[in-house]
Amino acid sequence: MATEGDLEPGPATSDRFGSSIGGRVHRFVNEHTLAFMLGPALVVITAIFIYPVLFLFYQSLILTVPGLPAQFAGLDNYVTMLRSDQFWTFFEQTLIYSTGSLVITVVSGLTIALGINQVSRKWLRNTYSTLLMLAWAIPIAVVALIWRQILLGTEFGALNMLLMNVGLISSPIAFLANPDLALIIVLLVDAWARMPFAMVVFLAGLQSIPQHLYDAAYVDGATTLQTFRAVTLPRLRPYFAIVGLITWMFAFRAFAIIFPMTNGGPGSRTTVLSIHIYRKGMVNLNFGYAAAVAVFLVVVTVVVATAYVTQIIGSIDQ
Amino acid sequence: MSLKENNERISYETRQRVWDVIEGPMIVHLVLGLSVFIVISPLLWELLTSFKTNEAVYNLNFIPADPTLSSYYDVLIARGYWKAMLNSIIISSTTTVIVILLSVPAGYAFSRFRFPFDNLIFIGVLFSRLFPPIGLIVPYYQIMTSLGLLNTLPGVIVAQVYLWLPLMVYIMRNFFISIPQELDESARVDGCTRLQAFKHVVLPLAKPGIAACAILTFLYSWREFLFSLIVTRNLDAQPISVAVYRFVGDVSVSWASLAAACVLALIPTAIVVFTFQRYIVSGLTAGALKQ
Repeated sequence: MATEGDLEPGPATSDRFGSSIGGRVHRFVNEHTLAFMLGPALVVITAIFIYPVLFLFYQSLILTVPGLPAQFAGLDNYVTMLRSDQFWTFFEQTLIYSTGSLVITVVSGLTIALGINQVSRKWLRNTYSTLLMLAWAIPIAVVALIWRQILLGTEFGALNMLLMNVGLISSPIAFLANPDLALIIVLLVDAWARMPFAMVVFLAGLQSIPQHLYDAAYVDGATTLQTFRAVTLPRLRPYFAIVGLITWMFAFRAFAIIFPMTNGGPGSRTTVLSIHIYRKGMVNLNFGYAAAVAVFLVVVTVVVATAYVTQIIGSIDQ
Repeated sequence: MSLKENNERISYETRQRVWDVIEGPMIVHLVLGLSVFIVISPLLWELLTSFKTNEAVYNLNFIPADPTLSSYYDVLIARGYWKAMLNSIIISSTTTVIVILLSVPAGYAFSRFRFPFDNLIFIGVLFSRLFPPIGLIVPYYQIMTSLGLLNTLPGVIVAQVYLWLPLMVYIMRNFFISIPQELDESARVDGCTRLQAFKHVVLPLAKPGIAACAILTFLYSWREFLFSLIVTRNLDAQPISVAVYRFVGDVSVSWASLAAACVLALIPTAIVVFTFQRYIVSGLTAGALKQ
């Protein structure tokens, strides 16, 4: 944060703007620099964030069964939610989805970052990272739809076509209609699109490690594995924390991969909480219940984020 | 003693020889090449499919037998997706302009000024960035309905500003913190006002950061799906990132046309990535790291 404790206008403001209207406006702006710089952003954030959030919390207390008049219901929506087996199944699927995506994102992102860090030619490094970054940059629904087409359960789905051409299978596999495979497949696609972010952050981390530490480890006769454990990993710790937090948090709330790919199916095997909220709120129009699930999602996110952020700050202080 | 030392030396060299191979160019390029293949091959396959006709998709070949642009004609003209492309361009560029105009001064204020509750307000901004947007779809849908902004471009733009403004305030603050404060101070000693110091001294130095924020905002709002889906109903306001999903509702999906729509949606992002890779990397790291 800034250290300067200064709210007063800059030096010699008194007469430099003259007394014309323009000069007066100019002086007014100059005397309220902070308000003019920060005010608009805060007003906008309050209007388009704080208000909807308050609305959300309020709505979670309202009983909104379509066809009946809405009425205040206290914590009824929360009680219904916590007693619903379906809700806990969806929560479990959300945890599998987000944790699975996190593990694969971190492992693949770190492996690729370590690889790119070994490439000495600059143009080659840039080519690799630019091409890999495409997975992150293209529209999320497009990612989902491309993979949906590739994994199509008929002989003209690209993967089935490939496997049949090679002769590994004789009849097409219905990847996304398979209740045991679907959740794993959508989380793999989620990780596919998240990997480049992890790669970029880990690469920044690797490049922040001073070369002399590696030289010293080399002189001491450490093997690559020992160097990795003694130098690289400890230095990357804050980066692990940040990649882990961001990846998990965003996978926990993810919607745009599953919705176009499986719409929560087969059955409800890939229904995560975000899909549940969408269906309850936007399809069944049960706004109150959807708001209660949303509040639950927010609370979990906030708890995890707070725990993690304190952890990170602790590890940086060391 | 000397025997043990000798043993360790041998095992060290053997172990290190294994690692030299793993670290060596062969394995490294193999791993990276495989990763590039996993990322690029789905996109190439989609590109190839988009040059087929909708019937030719069922011919079971990867390379189109007679390449044609008919799917692009079908998508852009017959189905009117040129409107979705135009909507995307309008939404993304307007969002970028609004977010930059608001976040650059706000980020500067957070990096330089001390004021009552400054840390608390900053944590509030951070919180609004970490808050799961999925929680706000129903409130947004209802607020947009009551304001008459449902299925309009301003409705989508408002939602995009909500999604990306807090993040960009945070990133801009980090960029400004990396510019030494002594520069503004010496400018003010020379007689500049705060605003002049900002405009003439700090802003020129912050140009790469502002560029990174602008590119990220553009990319993020081009990619966004959820809120654009909630707030829009048809091609009057739908951006291409949502319009691609409209195919899924069809009785029989026209796969080649869908492929063409996907290619149209991803080409601008590919161009941005190839042109501004360095800025994107600096923006992403500034958004993830630094306190």
